[in-house]
Amino acid sequence: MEHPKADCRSFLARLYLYLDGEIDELSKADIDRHLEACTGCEQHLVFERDLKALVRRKCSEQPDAILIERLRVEIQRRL
Amino acid sequence: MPFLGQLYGTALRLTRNPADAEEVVQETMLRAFRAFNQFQEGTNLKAWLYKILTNTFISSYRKKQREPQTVSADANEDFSLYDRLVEANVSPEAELLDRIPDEEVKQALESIPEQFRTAVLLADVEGFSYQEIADITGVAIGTVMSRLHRGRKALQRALWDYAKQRGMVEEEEPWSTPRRTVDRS
Repeated sequence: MEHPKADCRSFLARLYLYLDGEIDELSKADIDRHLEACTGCEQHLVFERDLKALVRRKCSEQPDAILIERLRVEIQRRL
Repeated sequence: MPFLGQLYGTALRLTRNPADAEEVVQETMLRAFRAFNQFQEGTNLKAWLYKILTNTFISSYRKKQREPQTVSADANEDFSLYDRLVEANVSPEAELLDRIPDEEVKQALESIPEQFRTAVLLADVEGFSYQEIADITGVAIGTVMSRLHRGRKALQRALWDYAKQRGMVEEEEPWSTPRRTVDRS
């Protein structure tokens, strides 16, 4: 049986790959299995996932229609 | 004109200034129109526009900034906000961070070095894949991953510093609280 600490380290090393959907199916299955057994790592994953979503939500900029229109007009004028 | 709003949002985080962001977006669209014959139909238009945006920012705007472009010592590489919260006996949940105002999170992101900031913006805010970010910024995938990692860590450090300053968390600093001893002499 593998030492659980080694499993956790291996998960941590691939956490962002997992979160970013940049991991192959085999490694993903591996991690999913570990997450089912390890509450600590699962909690860590949820935190990082929520943090990523939070950055997206809080750092997105939705410029108003007036600004968009001004940009459009200015670009067309300079074309 | 597609993606104007999104391009402006990214330009604002890059330039950190609305007037400069407008200029970068205008210049990006002008370059895109002029070079449109180079765009390959059926490929990713958004990624193509972001590549022009990134190049425009670097070539026309960055010169003005005098921001150091390479970061030699990186003290944040191993920083983990999650671990810090656990160590501070705070429940490590993102709800805590949700109390940080949007403007402060934006400032935290804008405070990190440009190359790292770009990677975080493209991955976490715009949702590009590693390969797309590599194409947009013209570097290898390994470099993208390293910049993204360091950018996220630097952002976590900035958010941690903010939470500490506002008393949202208290870090135990053993050296700052010497036990008071009674002088019996």
